[in-house]
Amino acid sequence: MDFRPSDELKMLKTTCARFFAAKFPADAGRRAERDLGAGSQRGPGQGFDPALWKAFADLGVLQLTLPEAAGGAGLGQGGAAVVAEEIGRALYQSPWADTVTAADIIVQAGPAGAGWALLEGVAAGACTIAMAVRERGQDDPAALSALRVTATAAGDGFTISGQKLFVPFGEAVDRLMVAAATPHGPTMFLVPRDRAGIEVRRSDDTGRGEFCSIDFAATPASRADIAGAPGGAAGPYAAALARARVRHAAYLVGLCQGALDVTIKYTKEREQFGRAIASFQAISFRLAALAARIDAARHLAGYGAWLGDGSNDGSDDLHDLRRIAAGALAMAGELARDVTAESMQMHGSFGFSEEAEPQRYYRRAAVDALLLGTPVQLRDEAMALLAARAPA
Amino acid sequence: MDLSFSAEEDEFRQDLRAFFAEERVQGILRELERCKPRVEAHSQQIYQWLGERGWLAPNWPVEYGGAGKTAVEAAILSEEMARAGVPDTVHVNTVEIVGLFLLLAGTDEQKKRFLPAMARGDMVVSVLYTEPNSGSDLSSLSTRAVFDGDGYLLYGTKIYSLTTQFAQYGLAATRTRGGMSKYDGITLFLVPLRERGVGIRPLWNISDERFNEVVLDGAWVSPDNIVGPLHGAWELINTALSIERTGLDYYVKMRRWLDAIIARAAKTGRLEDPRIGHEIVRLDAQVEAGRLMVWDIISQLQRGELDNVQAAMSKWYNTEVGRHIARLGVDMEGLAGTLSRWDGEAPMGGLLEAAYRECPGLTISAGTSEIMLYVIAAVGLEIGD
Repeated sequence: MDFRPSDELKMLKTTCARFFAAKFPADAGRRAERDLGAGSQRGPGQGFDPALWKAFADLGVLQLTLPEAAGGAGLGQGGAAVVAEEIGRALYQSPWADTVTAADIIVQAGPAGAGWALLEGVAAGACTIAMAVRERGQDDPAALSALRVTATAAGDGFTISGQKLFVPFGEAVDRLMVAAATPHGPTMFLVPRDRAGIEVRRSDDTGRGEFCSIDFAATPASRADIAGAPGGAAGPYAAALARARVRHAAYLVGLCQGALDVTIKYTKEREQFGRAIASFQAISFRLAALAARIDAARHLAGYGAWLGDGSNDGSDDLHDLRRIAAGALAMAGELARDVTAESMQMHGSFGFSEEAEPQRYYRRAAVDALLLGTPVQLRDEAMALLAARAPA
Repeated sequence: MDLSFSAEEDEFRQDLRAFFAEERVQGILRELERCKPRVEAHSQQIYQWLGERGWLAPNWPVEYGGAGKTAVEAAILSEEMARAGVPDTVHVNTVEIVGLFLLLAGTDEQKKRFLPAMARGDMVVSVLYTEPNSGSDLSSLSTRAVFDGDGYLLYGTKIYSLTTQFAQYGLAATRTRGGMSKYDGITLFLVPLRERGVGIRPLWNISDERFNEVVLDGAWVSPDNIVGPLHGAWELINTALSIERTGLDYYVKMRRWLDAIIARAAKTGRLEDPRIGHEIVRLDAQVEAGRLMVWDIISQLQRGELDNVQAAMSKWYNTEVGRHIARLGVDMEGLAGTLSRWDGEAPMGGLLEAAYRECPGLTISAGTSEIMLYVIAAVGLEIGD
């Protein structure tokens, strides 16, 4: 029993933290966001920054979860959770999370499946992938059973039709991993984003991030584009989603820590009634309680990552991993809204300003707390998993 | 990071489970369930059986009656006692708290005189800190110890002390001199409780564990029973308090209560009703996180380290969840949830009804939630006064 991160993990954390401090300080983060209501209009330096992404990928952050045979470097989910937490602390928005999730599905399909040849590029940051799962009227990212986007047989292959929503960095990525209904069942297609019949529109959301809606108009796809077996998406996707949720919980823990750190700094400097407002217990006790809750969420996410690394050996049926992943993400999602709302409150009106950091954390929390399932959806899943193992 | 138990640790857990499942233990536990009101459920016999194998204080050296194991096995014992429903407050006070003081600061003679008897389950020692005017601000205590040429005469009143009705000794914090500061002049004594000058009476409270008032009116204590430095125990008290503050004893209660709720909800079908099930899984995640915070600290102790801020977080977190678990346990059953175990028709054998009465004490004992938040803010975040 040892909760200390290994030296490699500590080094990875330091490397990421230094990278963001040097290359992506808070003002750079603010500049990267588009203006409210800007839609697809990009100002200079806004949206996806390929140079920054390349530099980030050069840290090796995309190799962590890949097997050695595919250019992986073996720090596993524990390493990915460390990276995710630092991304959250810095609020760096990139295709990292979805690319790692898509690679997970590609790896599960094995060398014969679609995308194996892309993994070298994935490891180097040269191939980015976005998950296209959500649809209108189908807001549960865990459910593949009632997809409206369909892939119908056409000649030797398929044509994909329908609309996907909330695809992160849909304008910028190289590939899309599209969940589509086929007569065999739900199937994952991996297609180049510039393939015929694909139209991308950037959404305008609270987070001012890079969500896109994507229309597929009879987009051609071949059997070779299928990651895994036709109709066989559900199992690998559930496993990949559980691991993605753990990483996302770690990201939210980092987001919470970032918001808390900013707030502690501000309340130590801001004076009212002749003293720093942090010296009032009305402030300090609330910050202390949030710090303890963040510590709790970090422990649960860390446990999820540890379970995730054990889940590759095939000995586990994923039950515990899925339950802990859902529980950790629901906890982190609720906490992110609580911490960032408290951060706004403690900054007073200043926190609302465009140049202030609290509002960025607050807006990102709105989006990121729901990204891989709302707390209610997550608790539904955890409830079913708990009931399945409850004493008879 | 490695969150698994060693084969040896797993084996110790299995051995404990097998022991607690023995009929002689189960028979006593069934008897304890039938305890009358105001009779506290406690079995020294089970402790003695554990003590025969060195299991009551598994992390103590063999020469003092332990099994020479580590803080991990000590924590496994706490988990398994709670899981089996073996009352543990006497064990916490005697072994985990007073035993720790003796290991940290006792003389060789004191260790030999007290530790083996405590580890065998033959001696119970309680803690006498709190006074009518001295609670969270312990350094304001006013119980006096006056040197009479041979030993010390103690005068003062200690209250809200648990398990003293079972105890032969009490570890009392006293003032032996008026010092330059209120932190100076504090001395710890192991006070023989069944002697002249000691009056013990119950202060009845709403929980199933009795408070005691201990009036010390010239109780004589030998200097051989001073634990730690004369006049200088303040630092020792704080060291021991923080080592004791893992959150372990609280977390094991939370797990036991929530497991009872889960089992009951599975039986009644409420586990799959989102109105109840969602609250259960919310609390399940919190108890699981609390468990990890506790084990993080246990693993630090095993290496001889301790992060006081993390420990305060663990104590705060693992006790704050209690009120929500107790409330759910009662709410889930409606008014039937308020039936006590003496009613005969109480769901979950009245465990959650008792939890509702017990849980306000958890955020108070061993450092209130407010003191924990103060430590986190002042030491961890470096804010506040």
